[in-house]
Amino acid sequence: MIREVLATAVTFLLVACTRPTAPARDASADRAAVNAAMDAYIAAIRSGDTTVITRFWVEDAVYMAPTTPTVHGRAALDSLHRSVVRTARVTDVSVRTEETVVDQELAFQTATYSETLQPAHGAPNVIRGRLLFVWRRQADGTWRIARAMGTDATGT
Amino acid sequence: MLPRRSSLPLLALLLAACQAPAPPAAGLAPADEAAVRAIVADFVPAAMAKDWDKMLSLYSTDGVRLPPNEPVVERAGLRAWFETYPTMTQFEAPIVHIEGAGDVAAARGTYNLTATVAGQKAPVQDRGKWVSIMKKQSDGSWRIVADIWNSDLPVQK
Repeated sequence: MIREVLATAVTFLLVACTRPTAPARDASADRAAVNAAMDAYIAAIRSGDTTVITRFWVEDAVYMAPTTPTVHGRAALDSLHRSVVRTARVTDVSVRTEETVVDQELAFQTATYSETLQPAHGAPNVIRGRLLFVWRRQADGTWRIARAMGTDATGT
Repeated sequence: MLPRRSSLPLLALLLAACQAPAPPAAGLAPADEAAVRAIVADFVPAAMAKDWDKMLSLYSTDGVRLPPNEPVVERAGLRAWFETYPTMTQFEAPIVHIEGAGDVAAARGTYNLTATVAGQKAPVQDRGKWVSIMKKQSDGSWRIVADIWNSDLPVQK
């Protein structure tokens, strides 16, 4: 009897102790999922719906735009998005992905972007530059933006 | 039948093994985090010393830089690009945060520098932030595969 109990206990512990290994993933499918998430994010920006835009960012997101201080957290990003939409309308935005690399739960993506903001009065403001996004896979399998940095690229 | 006395150490050993800390699923092993930190620690003095061999050794063979107001600098053009670096008399680039998964890490931080620039009488000061993506190589070392930065200061007119 003791032997059976011990055998069961040892088996249980061996199973419990088996460290989970990262499941084999399809790298091209992961890259496609990240690129699709970027496409959906751009569609959200075009829509001007700040609630949807903000949903693409993780709770502890960090956004680092040129000439301005770093924005920490989704709540602060939501305020930023709302203030942009209040003062200007995004009339055009395009992103061209250059590279997407995925490793387990993290991905990074480099891209060029162009965005046209039309203020209530005056000429449109065209911003062009380069992006580096760090995406984090969520528990539900979706990809969300964890870090984003942009630069001006007037010379390119 | 196994003697009870001999089974207890076995169970204790298995329990102890269960309690051994595993690397966090979405994080980096301590050795990997240390390697990522070492790259940043090496970067700053190498840049100040204009030690381009050292700088180049921190990048992967396909590493790129994404500087503001310039095209992407591919690995083949890195040395020539570094050679245009101004002379920095002060440079700090502290890490603010590192996260990683598998063989990829994203470090971010701030920078603060003073440099002498040809054609300018006074030293130029700048401060901003940076992100560096690093990847573990097949030999186990970590290298920068892409880095980007921008200034907090207004554009000079």
